Amino acid sequence: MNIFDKFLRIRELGIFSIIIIVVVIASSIDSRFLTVDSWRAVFLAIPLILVMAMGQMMVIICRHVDISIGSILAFAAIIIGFIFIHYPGTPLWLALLITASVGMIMGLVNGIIVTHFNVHSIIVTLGTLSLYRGLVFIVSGGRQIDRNDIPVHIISFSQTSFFFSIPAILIFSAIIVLITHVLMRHSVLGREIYATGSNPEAAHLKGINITKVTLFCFGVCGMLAGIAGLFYASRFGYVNPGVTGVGIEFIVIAGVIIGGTSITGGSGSVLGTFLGILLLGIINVALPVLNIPGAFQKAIYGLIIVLALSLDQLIIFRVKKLRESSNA
Amino acid sequence: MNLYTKNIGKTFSGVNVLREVNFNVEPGEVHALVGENGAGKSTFVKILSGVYTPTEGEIFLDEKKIQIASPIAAQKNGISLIHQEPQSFSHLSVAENIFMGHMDGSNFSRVKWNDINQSSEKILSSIGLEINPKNIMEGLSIADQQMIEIAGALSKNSKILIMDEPTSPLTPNEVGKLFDIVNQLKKQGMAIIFISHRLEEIRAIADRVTIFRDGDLIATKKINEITNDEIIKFMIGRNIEEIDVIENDYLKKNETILSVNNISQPGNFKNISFDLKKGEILGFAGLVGAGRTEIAKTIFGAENYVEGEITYKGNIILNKSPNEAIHKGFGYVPEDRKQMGIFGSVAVEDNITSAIPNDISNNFGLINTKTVTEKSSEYIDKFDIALTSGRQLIQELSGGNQQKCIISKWLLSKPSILILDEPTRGVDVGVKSEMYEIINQLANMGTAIILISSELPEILSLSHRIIVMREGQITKILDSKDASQETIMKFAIS
Repeated sequence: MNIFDKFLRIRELGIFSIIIIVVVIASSIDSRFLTVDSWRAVFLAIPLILVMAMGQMMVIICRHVDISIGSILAFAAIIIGFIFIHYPGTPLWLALLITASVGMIMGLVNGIIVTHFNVHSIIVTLGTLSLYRGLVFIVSGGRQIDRNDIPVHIISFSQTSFFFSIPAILIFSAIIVLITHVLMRHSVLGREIYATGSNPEAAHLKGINITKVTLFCFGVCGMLAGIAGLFYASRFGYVNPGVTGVGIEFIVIAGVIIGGTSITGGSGSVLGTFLGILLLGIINVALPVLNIPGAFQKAIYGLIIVLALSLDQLIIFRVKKLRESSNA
Repeated sequence: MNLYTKNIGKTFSGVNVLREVNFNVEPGEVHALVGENGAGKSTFVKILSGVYTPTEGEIFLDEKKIQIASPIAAQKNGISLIHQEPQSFSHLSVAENIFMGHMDGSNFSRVKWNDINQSSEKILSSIGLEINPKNIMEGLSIADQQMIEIAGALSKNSKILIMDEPTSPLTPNEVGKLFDIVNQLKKQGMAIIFISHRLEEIRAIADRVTIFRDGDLIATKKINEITNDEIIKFMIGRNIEEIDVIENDYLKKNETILSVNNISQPGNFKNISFDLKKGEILGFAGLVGAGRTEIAKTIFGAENYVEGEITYKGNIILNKSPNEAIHKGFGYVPEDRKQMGIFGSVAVEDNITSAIPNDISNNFGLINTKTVTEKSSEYIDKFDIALTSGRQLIQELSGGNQQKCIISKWLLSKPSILILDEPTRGVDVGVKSEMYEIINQLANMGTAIILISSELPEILSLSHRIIVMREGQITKILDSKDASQETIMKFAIS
């Protein structure tokens, strides 16, 4: 196998090419796009999405989907917000632990309904999307957590740095991404998640506890959505019951799918998901820089997602053909 | 390891499907299981491999009584099942497919890639498969996937291998390779249970053969002490009382309505030619998978064929969709009633009238419910369909009554050709004889009928002519007076 051939075998090739295309187009229209500032904006925008995408990717690989993550994020954020109001001295590690636990419980509830009552995950999480959002309103009484409710050391988590000038939140996200990569690529459990999504019946016959595997994925997905709740409070400085996390599931799921994770389960990678989220982040920052009128931005954003998905499939198909002809 | 069973029995919701099976298999032996579809051999191997638990009896391994409560328990006892269709993880590597479920270490420990890749390579080369264990499973042939399943069993140190019709998806060349490996494993002391419908294969590979029929183990013989004719006789058993085939006036006119000429569908059937006459009941016999259903679907326009032609009422036709076929006068009662025959959550009346939308609606395309009730009640009365009202949902009826509804549906559309695919599967004896009467009446009215059935007595007591199929090809066309269970089975298995 020569190097060129090896290169063509990389599944993430399609999405990587698209990122290059978008960056080249954007910077040729306006060279301001290539400045450090806009890249800083990209990398500040993605940690929250990226962390959620890691969990969502695991759920999708094992043949499910969790669309309640936006509400889980909001619930964890509201809970930690009220804790900050009463105990402003709560340290960062404890806040992380609390939001992670809250999220994990909510994710596990999704998982238990899916596995034990045999309801399709789209239906279950569509229900809990609304249920959990309702809990946010009940717990908060409709009250918003304001900037002065959130302690300074939490705000600074997403702004200050202890390593070069990279914000702590970005380093923390990178660690989560790396752990997910090792888990999925190299651990026994990770491979069992792929096997479960690839062929649940065969996985069961091989002695894999597919209920346990599925619960694990939903639990982690919820946990990471909970942690994203803390990120939200830290980065935006407020938590609003009716706004926080609304619609975020679409961005996360779109990023995971653009990154090459198969919606029918069994395949997908951390690198691909990272590139998918990165592409969405770049587009998001590029649109205002390119002076595209606000009214058009949302439509163009959606259009690019659809184009990227089609283009990715096209590239994969072409590469497959090329590989087959070079093998023959 | 020496495996034997004592009086194994299995009952499914009151129905006794397996009775007092005393069976044994020894190390270094290939033991073949044969029997018709539904004879109990599949149920039996599912018990041995932990998919079902027996309702009665005991299983011993080297004189020690064991419980096989799950597939995993079977594997822990050294019993592995090789599925007819390989159960693969197409997204994962070959080595992962071999070791999935029994990799070293706990959940969060690192996969020892070097170990599993090296072990896989060793096992694969021991069975003569040169394949890189790091390759992705996707795109490998069925034969290779099957070898990888066998490699998986070897990686678990299995001592007893159950192979469920392993040769049916393979080409002759691949079958030869598989047999080499089976012989090699046998020499190494593996006990192998081998299910097949092909007697010549069993003769080539097996040391002993056990014949099942209607849930009973009929006989276990050394392969060189039994002839093929004897095996077939054991499979069919006593003669069942046969009803006489009824001739009718239309048949005497000898009017060909459908003429199928040399049609083929890759992988399913090849070079199929036959004529069908008005008033004729043409039986299709053969084992499951012989290609009969595919031919029926092709004639009905639900599947395509690649060559040949079909002539209907003197014109060459091509049914591109079932809708087209229905308009021309074809009807099809499918094999899988729940999936393809009924609209479960819809009323009986609406099901019965669903093939004649134009007759029950007005010029604006709106359905006249009065016409629906009238049209359907004619057949509900005629066939004595048991229901509370025409508005009852069809899924609440018994299988036999559902089948009567489906046949009513096609009678309303007055088809010239009616295809019946296993029309009496899962219906009780009473309904069965009513159904036979209806089929004969239809033929008497000039309808040409294609009858596909796996029950030989049914084929024999209804069909004017019988087409016997094996592995996608017609092996014999028999006249009713020349046909018997033995002759049919001979051409269906050979």
